[in-house]
Amino acid sequence: MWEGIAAGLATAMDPANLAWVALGCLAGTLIGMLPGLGPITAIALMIPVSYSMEPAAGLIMMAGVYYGAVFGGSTSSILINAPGVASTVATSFDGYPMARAGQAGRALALAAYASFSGGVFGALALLVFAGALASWATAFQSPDYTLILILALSSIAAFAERGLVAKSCVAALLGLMLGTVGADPESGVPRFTFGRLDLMDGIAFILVAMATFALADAFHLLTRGGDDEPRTAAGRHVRLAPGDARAIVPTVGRNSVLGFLVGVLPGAGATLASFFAYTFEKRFTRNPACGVAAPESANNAACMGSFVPLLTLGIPGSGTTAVLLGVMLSLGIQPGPRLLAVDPGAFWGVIVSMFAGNLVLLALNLPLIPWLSRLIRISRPVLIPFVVAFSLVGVYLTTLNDFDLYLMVGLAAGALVLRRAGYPLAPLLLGFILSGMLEENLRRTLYLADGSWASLAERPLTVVLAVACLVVWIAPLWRRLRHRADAAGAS
Amino acid sequence: MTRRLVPLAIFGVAVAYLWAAMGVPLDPWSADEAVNARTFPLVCGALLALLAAGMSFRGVPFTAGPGRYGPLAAIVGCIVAFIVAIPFTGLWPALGLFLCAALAVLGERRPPVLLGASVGTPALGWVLVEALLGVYIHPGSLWG
Repeated sequence: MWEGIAAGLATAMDPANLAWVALGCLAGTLIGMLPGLGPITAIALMIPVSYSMEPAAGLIMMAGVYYGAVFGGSTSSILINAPGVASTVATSFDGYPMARAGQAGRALALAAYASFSGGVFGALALLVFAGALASWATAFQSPDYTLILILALSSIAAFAERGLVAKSCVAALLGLMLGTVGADPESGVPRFTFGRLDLMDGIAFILVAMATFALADAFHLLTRGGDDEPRTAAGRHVRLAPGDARAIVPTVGRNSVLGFLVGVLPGAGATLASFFAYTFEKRFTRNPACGVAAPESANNAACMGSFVPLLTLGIPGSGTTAVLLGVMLSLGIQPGPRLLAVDPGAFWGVIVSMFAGNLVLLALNLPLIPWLSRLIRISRPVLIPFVVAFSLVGVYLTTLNDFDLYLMVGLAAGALVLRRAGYPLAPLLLGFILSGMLEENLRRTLYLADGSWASLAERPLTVVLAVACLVVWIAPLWRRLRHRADAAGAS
Repeated sequence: MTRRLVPLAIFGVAVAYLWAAMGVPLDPWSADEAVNARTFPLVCGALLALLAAGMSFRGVPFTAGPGRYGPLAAIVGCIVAFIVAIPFTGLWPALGLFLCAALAVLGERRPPVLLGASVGTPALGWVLVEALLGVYIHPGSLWG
C-alpha cells in the first residue's frame, strides 16, 4: 500500500497534474455556482478537454471538477436560494436565511471551511479505508437499502418543526409520486405520461429543483410585495464569527464521518448525506452556523466516499460517478479491483490529488467570497428577473425542450400554493430524488420474497433499520404527547 | 374554509393519481405478479390520500396572508412569451427580451441596467455556452 501511495504522491505532485486539478476545481466551482448546472453537467462539459490528456491527469482533473462543482453549488444555495445541485439543497435551509440577515460572508466562510474539512477527512478516510469500506458496503442488500431510504424520508418529516410533521409527509409523498412519472424502469411501460413522449424519460431533477426552489421562491417574493429587506453582502469581512470555529468543530467531525459512510453506499451519495447530516445536526443544536457546516462537510466527505465503490469495484455510486465511469473507460482506465494492480499510479494519484484539490478549493473560494457575496445586494426588482432567467435557461440548456419550461412553470405554481399554505418543499425534492432508488429496491426486495413485506425485517441489519424507522415515526407522536402532558401540568 | 381547502385539493390530487395508477398498462409477464409497475404508485397514492383525508377532516392552519398577484401574473406572462419566442428568435434574443420586459414590469427604469441586462446577459451566455463550450442551440426560425 505504501509503495502505491508513494507512486500516487508522485503522480499527484507532478506540476502538470497539480495545474490540471486546479483547473478542474476552478471550472467545477464556476459551473457548479450557476443555478441549473451541477456536477454531472460540469463533468460532461469537460469531457472534450480530458480527451487530449494523459489518463491519470484526465481522471485527476475530472475528480477536481466533481468536488469543485459540489462546492460551487453551495454558493448559489446560500446567496439566492437556488440550489442547482441536490446535495446543496440542505445548505440553503440555514445558509439562505443567514445571507438574508446580512451574514452572507459568514455563511460562505462556514461553507468553505466545512467543505474543506469534510473533503480532507474524506480523502484521508479514502486513503486508509478504501478496500475495507468497499467490501462492507457491498454486503448491503435491497431490503437494507429500502429501509435506509425509508429512514431518510421519515427522518426529514419526523424532525420537522412542530406542526409541520404531517405537511412534511405530504410533501415527501408528492415528491415520491412525481418521481414515478415516466417509463417504468423494469418493464418500460409508460406511467403518468398521458401520451406525451416528453414525459417518457421522467421529469428531470434540475427541473423539479428549479421549479420548487428558485422559481417558486421568486414567485413567492412577488406575491409577498413590500419593500426589500436590508441585505448586506459579505463585504471584506469574510470570516467566521467569534465562537463559530469552536461550535462547528464537533459538527464537522461527526458529519464528515456520517457523510463519508453514506457516500460509500452505492446509490446514496452526497445528497442523502447532506439531508441526513442536516436533520441529524438539528437534533443537537439550533445554531445556523452548524446548519450550514453539517451538510457542507457531509456532502464533500460523501463525494470522497463515492469514489470507494467506483475505484475499487468499478460500481458507480451515483449519477455523477456513473458519468465519471464513462470518462475513465474513454481514457482507457478500467476501474475495479484490477486497477490497483494494473495502474496504481492512477488509483492512488486520484486519491492523493484530492488533498491538493481541497487546498486549491479553499484557496480559490475564500478570496472570491467578497466578490460573490455582492450578488445579495442586488435589489428585488433586478434579482427576481435574473433568478427566473437563470432557472429557465438552466433547464432549457439541460433538456433543450420547450415542454419542460411549461412543466416547470406549472410545478412552480403548485409549489407556490404549497409554500403559501405552509408546506415545506425540501421533503418534496428529497422524495423526488429518492423515488427511483426506493421503488427499485422495494420491488427487488418483494420479488425475491414472493411479495412478502415481512422480508423487510428478516435479517439482523434490517431489524435494526426497521426499529430505527419505527423510532423515527413514533418520535413526533411522543413529542406531541409530552407537550400535551406539559401543557396539562402547567394549567 | 382555507384550513381545509389545500388538504382537500391534495386529496383530489391523490385520488386522481390513484385512478391514473390503476390505469397503468402492465406487460404480460408482470400482470399476474404481486409486484408490478402499479405497486409503488398505489402505495404512495394511498398513503397520500389517507394523510390528506385526515388533514382535511381536522383542518390545518393556512399561514399565508393576502398576496399581491398582479406582478406575479405579469412575470408569468413574460415567461410564457419567452417560451413561445424561443423557436422563432432563438434562446439568446428571447432571453434578452424577457429580461428587458421583466425588469420593466417590476419597475426598473434605469437605461444602463435595462440595456446591460438585456444585451450583456445573452451575449455572455452565448460566449460561454456556444462559443467556448461549443454547445449547439438552434438559432431560431426567424434567422434561418
